[in-house]
Amino acid sequence: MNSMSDLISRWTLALGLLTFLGFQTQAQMAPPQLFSEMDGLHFLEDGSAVPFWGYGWVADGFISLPGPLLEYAEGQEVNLAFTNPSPESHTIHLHGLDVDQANDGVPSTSFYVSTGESTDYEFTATHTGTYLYHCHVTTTLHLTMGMYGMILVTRPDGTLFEGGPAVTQNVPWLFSDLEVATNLDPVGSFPFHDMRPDVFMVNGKAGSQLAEEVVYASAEEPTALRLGSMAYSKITCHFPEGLNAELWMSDGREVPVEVLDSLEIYPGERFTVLVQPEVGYDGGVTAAFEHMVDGYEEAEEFLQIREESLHPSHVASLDEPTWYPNPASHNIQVTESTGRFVRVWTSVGELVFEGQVPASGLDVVSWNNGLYLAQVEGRDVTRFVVAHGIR
Amino acid sequence: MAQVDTLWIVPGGVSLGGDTLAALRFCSTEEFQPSNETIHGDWTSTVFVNLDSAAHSLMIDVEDWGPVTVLAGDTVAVAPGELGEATHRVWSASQRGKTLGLATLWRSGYDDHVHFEWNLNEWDPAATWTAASGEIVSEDDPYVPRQFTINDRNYPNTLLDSSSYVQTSVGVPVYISIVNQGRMDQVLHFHGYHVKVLQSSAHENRVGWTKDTVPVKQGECVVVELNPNQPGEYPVHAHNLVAVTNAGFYPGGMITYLNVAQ
Repeated sequence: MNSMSDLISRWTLALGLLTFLGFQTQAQMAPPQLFSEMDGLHFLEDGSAVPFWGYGWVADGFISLPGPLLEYAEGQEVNLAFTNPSPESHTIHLHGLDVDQANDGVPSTSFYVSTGESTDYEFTATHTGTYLYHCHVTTTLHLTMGMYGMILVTRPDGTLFEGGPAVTQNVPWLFSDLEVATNLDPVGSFPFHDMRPDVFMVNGKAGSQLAEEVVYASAEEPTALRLGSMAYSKITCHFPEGLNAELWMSDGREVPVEVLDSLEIYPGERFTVLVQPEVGYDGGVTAAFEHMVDGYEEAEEFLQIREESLHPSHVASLDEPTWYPNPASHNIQVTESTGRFVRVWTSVGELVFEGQVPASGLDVVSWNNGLYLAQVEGRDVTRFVVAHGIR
Repeated sequence: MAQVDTLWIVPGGVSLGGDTLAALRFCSTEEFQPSNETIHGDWTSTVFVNLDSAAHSLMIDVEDWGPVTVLAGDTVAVAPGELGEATHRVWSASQRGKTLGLATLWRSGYDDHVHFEWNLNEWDPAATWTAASGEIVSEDDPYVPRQFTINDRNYPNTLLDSSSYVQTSVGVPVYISIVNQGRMDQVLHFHGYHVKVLQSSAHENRVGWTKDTVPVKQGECVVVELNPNQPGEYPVHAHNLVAVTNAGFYPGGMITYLNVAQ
């Protein structure tokens, strides 16, 4: 088993490569490019870290669990660029999008993306809805290690589908799970038939990590919950009466509208549920994770939903700070920081700056290449990359 | 598969993914065959000849239809009457029969397109030998199946079965009857296509839905229509990923393919 210091060392070593990828994107600019890596660290509710494999945007320079949300417009001709610098071959299976065989992401019928190779997945986003993507190489292992994400295909006018209801926002909830022992020792994880996940997540978070993930929903117009599962477990969502939950779509297709009090979601399924809570509603959705072999309920997660009038105005008025240019080589600026205290850490937690960012920005000439975490007072943590050599 | 009017209950053994299992099968002759024979037709009668050493309570999931017991060495006729256009599950309700996989489907109607039939099941090899020896396999014991099958074969041998491996052409619709004979719920993901749900005994509200990922609950019968709009070779597989392994190794288990010619 790898020690934490070994894992952090691997992570640090990987930063150089991620920085290189960031540099590549700076040169390319467009289109956005996904990459895969096998050296991520995912922090659990208790603060411990488990390794994961995953996808990330090259421009961001880091992988995430789950991978980035991919969003396309109905009818869009999509060219999804993907590069694989990781030590093993990977693919992207576009789950539910009914792409042609060459773009299906199944190695035996399409192709592998080997170490150091890049490719483009091409398809037309013909139907609005909720979809998934995941690696289809040794799927049992690569999926449980974290190589998955969600795709939304939406309409510019905010309607679910042609002639469908307009929604005020789309809220992706991607259910998944992992078995810590497998992620710590993926090579020794066989046989897979005794897989027993012990971490149960929504958008990569579990338990108290979800406490801050509050959805503020209008009482006047519906909010679309985009539900999908990449779990080994069966998920059952319970919708309290005050949410006025209705089922509208499944697997990227319209279904007869049903009022919901609960919904089972099997691995790979997707549903679009509209909620329109009563004024003053403060509750949420309970998601039960049930083992597929023996039916044992392993865990419950709670996803809080509040009616919009309860939304704290000081949070609603702020945009997230943005660091630019990113990657940076000499000087980096940040938005939304005037008069606010800022802290910057390396990816392994070493504090490298605290104070107010001067008008001229932060001088990063002497900083090492790599990923940095930054927090503007009162705001979420954001990230940027330092990569010397950028013009 | 050929329409039959007599099925023999025959004990034997099968090899699956490196394991050897004891088995009971509905066979079209007195000879043991590795896969259960299916039954077709409405208002038909099927004769069951029990060559096993134990009695079996034969069940069919038709409303108000009770079990029919066939003693060891005995013969019974089963006539469920009008079945209409539907696919039904037929199985031995005895603990021995369930553990050894004595289960098939009875399809009535859906004759206007080519029809493929998938019996899903999962297997704990040690439990099959316990049951074959006449001992009790308790359903309270830990259950860790290690083989997963379509028509009693696991991938890649599913591709050798003409009822598992779907072959059609663009614009030529086919039906697929799917019956879950195991103790677990399953969920099948279709690559490349959505299918229309025509029957779903555990999700009646889903009839008429168009899906690419279709749950098939324990004991459930599902019928879907696939009307391919593009050519290609695409997998269909369980997305409960423990079920795409053979003795723990991927790829295996409940995987088959759709082969759609231009």
